[in-house]
Formats: sequence, C-alpha cells, structure tokens
Amino acid sequence: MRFLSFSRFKEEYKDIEDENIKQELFYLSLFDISFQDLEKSDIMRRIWKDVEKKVKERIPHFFKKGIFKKMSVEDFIQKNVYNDRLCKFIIAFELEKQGIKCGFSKSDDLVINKNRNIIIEIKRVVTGTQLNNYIKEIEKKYENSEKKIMVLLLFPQFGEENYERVSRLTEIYYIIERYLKNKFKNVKVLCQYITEIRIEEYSMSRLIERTVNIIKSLEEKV
Amino acid sequence: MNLNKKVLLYVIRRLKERGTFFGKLQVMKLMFLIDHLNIEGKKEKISKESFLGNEYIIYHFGPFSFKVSEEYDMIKDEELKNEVVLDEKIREKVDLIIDKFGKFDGWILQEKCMEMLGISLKEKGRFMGLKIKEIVKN
Repeated sequence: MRFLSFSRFKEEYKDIEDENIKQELFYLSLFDISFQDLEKSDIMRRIWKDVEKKVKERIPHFFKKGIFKKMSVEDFIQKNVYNDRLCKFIIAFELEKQGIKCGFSKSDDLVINKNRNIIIEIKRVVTGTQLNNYIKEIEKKYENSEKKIMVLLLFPQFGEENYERVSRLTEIYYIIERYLKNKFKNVKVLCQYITEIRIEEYSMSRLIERTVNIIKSLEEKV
Repeated sequence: MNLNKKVLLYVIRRLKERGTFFGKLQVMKLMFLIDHLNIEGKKEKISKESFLGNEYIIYHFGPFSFKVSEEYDMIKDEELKNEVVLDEKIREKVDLIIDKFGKFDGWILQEKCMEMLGISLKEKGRFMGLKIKEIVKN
C-alpha cells in the first residue's frame, strides 16, 4: 500500500466519536517534518524532535492494527501524516458530515461541490518564512485560474507557547486575503490556530464551522 | 566517523569558506544532489541509486532525508574546525555539486530539485510522501 485511500480512512475514522481524541489526531496531522530544515535555533529543533516523537508514539493508537500489517508505523507516518494527506482527509470527512460534498483533484487537492470549482488549499504553518513561501506558491499555482480558492492557514500550537497570545497573532494573517484578492477574483483566507488539547476556540470543530460558512459564501459568488 | 557525517562536515565547511552557507534547508538539498544527481558533461540526470546511500522522501520543501537531518542536528561547532578528508571519488562529486549549486539558498535549491525530478508545483501534492526510488524510473 502506497497511500491511505479516502475510503479506507473513512472506515478507520468513522468510529472515533470523542471530540478530544479527534482534536489530538488532527493536531498531530498538522506537521510536515521537513519544516525543521528551516529552523536555525536549537530550541526550535528540540521542539521538532518532541513533535516527531509524539507523532510516532500516538498515531498508531488512532488506527486499527490491521493497517500496519502491510506497512510499518514509520512508513505509514512518512506517507500519510507528514504530507498533508491525513489532515486533508480529516477536514474532508468533517465537511461531508456537515453536508458539503468533497472530492480530490488529480493533483490531490481538496475540491468542493459537484462542479469542482472550489479548491481548498490547506497550508500548515509553523514559521513566518514558511508562510511567505506558501503565498508565493499559491500565486504561481493559480495564475490565470478561474477557480474559487479558499486558503486554509492552519497554525498548530508549537512547544510551550502561550496559545492565547499566539492565536491572536495568527489572525493578523488576514491581511493575506487582501493581498491575494489583488491576484484572484474569488479568494478567501481563513487562519485558524489549533491547540493540542481541545479548547473550543482553537479546535477542529471550530475550524470546520468557519470553513463551512466560507464555502457557502464562495458558492454564492459568481 | 561515518561517511555521511564526513560529507556533511565537508559540505558545510566548504560553503562557509565560500561565504554561501545558508543553513540546513540548503545543505539538505545539496546532500540530495550529491546522492542522486548524475552529471556527465552538460547532461544532468536524477538517478534512482543513491551515491552515499541516503533515502529521501518528497515533502513540501522538496527531498528530505531523516538520516541526513538527524546527522546534521548532531554536528557540534568544534567538529567544523577540523579539516575533513574525503576519498577522491567522493570529493570530486561533492566539489562538483558545491561548485555548481553551492551559491543557491535552500529555497532556490528546493525548486531546482523539484524541477529536476519533473514535479511541477501543480502536481506536488501527488508526490508528497513518496520516496525517490518510487518516483524515478531508471
């Protein structure tokens, strides 16, 4: 097995009902381990090591053992967690629960509704340098595109940071929407800080609620 | 000292001497090129085989090796003070890569590596999480 399919993921995920457990899994899906290459400080690198350890230790608990018969835990994480596959699947599953039909494009982007005219660009952000690169990429990727784009900037709690303070800082990135609006006709940006332990304001359910509202407003736009 | 670490020390030292050391992202991509880029005259080709034996996976910022990452993080400043001697065959390849790509920072190298792998920005998502040997045909 190369990658986890969406249907197989649904089989695994549908039985998780506890919102706290969902939150933890979603939080763990927000890290691309290669981001640590951007860190210059030893403290940040140490936090990355802790994240790596946590992902390896916790992820197997969320899936049935059968899944690891064909693939080692390490391989599973490398192929489905550090890329944005797991994160994307969780969001798609939760959106479908809210009545929003989801699918995936040939290039694995999350697309919404029958016409496939709304694309959700999910970006997991830990540092400002990353964000800069992401925005440049989005500009290039959708140059001359007529699609409606929703950019989801997800900021996972990192280390022992003060979530109340940092979450307020992350909301500043709404300015990105203003910037992207000069480039694309229909674009919406949503910034959401995600804590490791569920806190309503910074939870996955809050993110889904906000995402649904934005999708509806994009659907109405011509 | 294992070969990987020796090469890492050599690369960092040479980049610092040239005044073009930009950090881990850059070194990771140079190590990838040392491992997988075959240069013959003007022809450049990414090969399936790894020169130093490191395994790379495609993530958002291009090819990434867990082994190289771990070894890079363990390098101490004092280790960079001593000269590193590499076997001639290895030194030749490393020097060639540094001469050709050592001037670029990690961001540019990341784009170059993806280009060499034939992965466009639009297709990137499809390749994330795959190993080089799963992408390169030869």
